[in-house]
Amino acid sequence: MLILKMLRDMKNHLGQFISIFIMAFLASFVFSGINAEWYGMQTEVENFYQETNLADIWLIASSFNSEDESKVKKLSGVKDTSLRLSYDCPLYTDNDKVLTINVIEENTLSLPSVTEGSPLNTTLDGIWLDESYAKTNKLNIGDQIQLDIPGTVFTKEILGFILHPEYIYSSKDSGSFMPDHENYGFIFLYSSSLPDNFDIEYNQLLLSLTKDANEENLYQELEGLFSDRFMLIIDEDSHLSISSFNNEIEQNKAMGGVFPIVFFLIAALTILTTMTRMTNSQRTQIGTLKALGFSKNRILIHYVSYGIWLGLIGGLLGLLIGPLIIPPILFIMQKSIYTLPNWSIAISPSSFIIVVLLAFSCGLASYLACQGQLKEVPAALLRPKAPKNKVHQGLERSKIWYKLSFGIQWNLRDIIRSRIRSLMAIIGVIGCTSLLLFGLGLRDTINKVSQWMYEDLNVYEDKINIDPKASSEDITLLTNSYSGQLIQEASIELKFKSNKVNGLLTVAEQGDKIRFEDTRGERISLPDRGIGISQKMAEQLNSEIGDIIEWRIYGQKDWIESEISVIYRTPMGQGIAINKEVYEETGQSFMPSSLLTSDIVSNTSMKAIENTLNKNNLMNSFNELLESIRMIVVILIMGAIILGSVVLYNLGALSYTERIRELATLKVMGFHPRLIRSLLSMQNIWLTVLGIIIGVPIGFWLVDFMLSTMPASLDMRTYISLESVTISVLGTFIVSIAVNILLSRNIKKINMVSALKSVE
Amino acid sequence: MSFIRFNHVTKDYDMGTLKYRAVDDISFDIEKGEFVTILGPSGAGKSTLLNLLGGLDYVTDGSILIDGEDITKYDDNSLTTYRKDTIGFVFQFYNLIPSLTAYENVSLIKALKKDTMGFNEALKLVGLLEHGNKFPSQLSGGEQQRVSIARAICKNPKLLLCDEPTGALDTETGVMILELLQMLSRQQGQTVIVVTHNPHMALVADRVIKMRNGKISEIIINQSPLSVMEVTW
Ligand SMILES: Nc1ncnc2c1ncn2[C@@H]1O[C@H](COP(=O)(O)OP(=O)(O)OP(=O)(O)O)[C@@H](O)[C@H]1O
Ligand SMILES: [Mg+2]
Repeated sequence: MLILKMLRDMKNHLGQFISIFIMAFLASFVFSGINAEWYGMQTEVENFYQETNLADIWLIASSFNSEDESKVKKLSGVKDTSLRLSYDCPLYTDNDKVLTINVIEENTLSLPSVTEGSPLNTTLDGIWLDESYAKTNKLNIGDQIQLDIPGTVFTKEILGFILHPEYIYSSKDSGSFMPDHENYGFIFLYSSSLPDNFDIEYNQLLLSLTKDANEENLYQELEGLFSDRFMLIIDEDSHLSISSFNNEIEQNKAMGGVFPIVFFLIAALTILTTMTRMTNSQRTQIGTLKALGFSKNRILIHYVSYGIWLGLIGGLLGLLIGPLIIPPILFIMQKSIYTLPNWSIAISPSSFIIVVLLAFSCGLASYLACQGQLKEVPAALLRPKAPKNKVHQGLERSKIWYKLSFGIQWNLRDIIRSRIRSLMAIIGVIGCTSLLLFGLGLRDTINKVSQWMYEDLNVYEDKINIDPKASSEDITLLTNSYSGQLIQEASIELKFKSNKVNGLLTVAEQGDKIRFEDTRGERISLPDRGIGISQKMAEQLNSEIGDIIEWRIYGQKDWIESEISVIYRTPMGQGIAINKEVYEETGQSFMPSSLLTSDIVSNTSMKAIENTLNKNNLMNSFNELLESIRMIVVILIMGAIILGSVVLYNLGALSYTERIRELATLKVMGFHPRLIRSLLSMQNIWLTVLGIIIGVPIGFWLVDFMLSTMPASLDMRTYISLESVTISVLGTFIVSIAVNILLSRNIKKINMVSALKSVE
Repeated sequence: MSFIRFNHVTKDYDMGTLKYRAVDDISFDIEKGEFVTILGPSGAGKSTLLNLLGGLDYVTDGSILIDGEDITKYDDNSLTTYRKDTIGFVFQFYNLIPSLTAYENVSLIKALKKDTMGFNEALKLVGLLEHGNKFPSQLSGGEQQRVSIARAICKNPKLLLCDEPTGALDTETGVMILELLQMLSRQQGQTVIVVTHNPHMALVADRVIKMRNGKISEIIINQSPLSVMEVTW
């Protein structure tokens, strides 16, 4: 019987209950949707790592032999080892395309997974090719591929297509965001299929660890073991592909945690106001139920169940639909960056917890709303309730108060009287503005980074990569043909006090093809004394201007000490930058790795040229990223509009029904509907303005927050254009005004005669 | 010509296929400054009549002339203006705005029109000058009704309409309200029409209109009405 009452009550307050339901639904929809996305990715990648037996540690040096391998195998904590030769090699037929060649033997660690063609087999003569590269370049199994390895050109047949756990994020260098499957890929082949005269020297030693391995000890032992040569130890955190993917998951986790909070809050607050109002108007009913002998708890449970049902049903529906809709949309973007064998949706246990939490907090809100009602004795409940006494004080005693127009007095008092309702309206508006700003700001920021990177800092058209084997005569020949600026880029290790990180070295000769900006965005030139350090790198090292840091190029033994003279900012590739002269003063010789030029590169067959990178191609990969973000922006904008309009409509309707008697009275007294409408919208406008004022900084903060989850090698500053701010503010206003127009249509329908009838 | 003239006024309520005739071909006159009561059993059509006069509803047939102007010809807009300029309404349940003080409830009229009585003056007239800063919930029922009357008269209406103004009050308080209304009529020359169930009201009014089943059963012109104080209620 009470269930029937509940259904009827819900029907009578349909607007409010629907919006509670929508908010509960959206909270769970967004949360479980994003959750299902990253949880699915996590599950898949873990399966993939396990299936392919991914190594835990990679040792990289110029050479390892089988003796080294067996020594490492004996160390405690090491489960398994494999040797691998890995190097980049341009395609003979097209020097712009680079393939990483991985030569293996009967290895057990980090094996590729074959998606098409022959399974891995040592006796087969041929190569297994990166599936993404093959697909983008339209290569088929059985095709021949010509590789340009030092000394020889050799031709191999493609035996199959593969995916590899170390190439989920497959990028030639950390300088570009998006993978370029057209120009970069990887191949695996067995050493047995190499030409006989090819002298294999392995340069990677892969290790897997036992569960109880003491990594700290092991690292020390490894360094001791190979103290005779320069060696790099890479683990999951420093592995580009693995760490990028982990970062991505973390980022999605953060996103999935923040956004549902708004909906969550609104759902709970709407329930609080609706239930307070409803139990207030049902005081007589409650009294009757009590008089009939229903226990206090029974009635309490009855009202609490409203909230629980709404939270539970809305939450479950969100849990069902969110994972079906959100992951596929996000996967579009993820797929353009990462290569995984499967993209599946997995509902994480935390999604169920959220539904329970939703039901619980909606129940709690109803409990808080009606427990006060139940304290009173039945007889007191049967009398109509006196409105809350409100003392006449403060501002209201001041002279100004009396000068205010009736509308302002009326609306101010109404806001003060229904604080929760006003608070909700403000939160709804904040949510609307900040989500709009977040979506647009994300787009702006990435746009800006592209502009910053490719228009402000790198002002060349082509980057000609110089063949490391090129002689100085070759290079002179090159610089004679093309004017530009020579730079040397190299991976380095940096040390300051106890901090040790990897980074990028840029040595630049005089010129203005590559530019630097200080922390305020002012253009600076590289110092004549000391070095420049990128801000993110300085932060990672915890160093400042004036500090002396140590660094060395990979493969070199000696550390070089340099004083930090300036701090510059760059979006990608954190490290240090040195003027050529200063660099040579440290005793190093300048070995240019690229020529930056604005000339049209016509002759790419010069000896010194390894390949050329066109800036437009680099920019395109950025634009692809932007393209994929557009979908997210659209979702955010839709979310913002739903949030804003549902909350404002619901509250407007609530305020309208609460004041309908007052409105009818005003109408009888001769107030024109137009006047009444402006009285009603006044409050809405105030709250909207207030919400927008708070919402704008929160939107900025959300973009900041999102950027803070980006990997350390990226330095992005929040940039939101005035246009986006204007759109967000105007958009919120439009939502608010549209809701107002919708609501004010009711004013005409107010029946004046009802004002004369009795209260109930 | 009389101040108010009802001319064969009929009001039907549409109830789907059925029509309910709440006011049936009624004609009468009321003079300026009169204190009028409309009496009759429940469902007789008293409120309907008052609402038609107050411009809250449209007649089905007939005309209502106020100062010679036929208000049944008015559209929504002119009716709003008519209510604003001509009519003061006093409700059975006071209909004060709970979030505004007594003074504010009266002074909200300034949002409506310019030529008003002083708000404090109106409160003084109903004897509530000291209570101006109180909220409705801090006032007794009788006091609330007096605020409601102050609000109605401060816009200088030509016509004060009261639908069972004492309906929610005890007898003693009710008498005070009636006394106030009679005083307004006698001293200010205000035309007052009061709908009531109370047959004693017949003694104090200048004109008594008795209704039954949507028709006027009797109109009494009282040559020497008693003052409210003189009647034993
Ligand atoms: N909106 C309406 N729709 C249909 N019938 C109505 C409507 N309003 C009133 N009536 C009917 O018209 C008749 C007259 O109603 P009215 O309210 O004028 O009576 P009354 O004399 O004021 O009664 P009371 O003393 O109880 O207030 C009643 O029978 C009522 O049922
Ligand atoms: Mg009536």
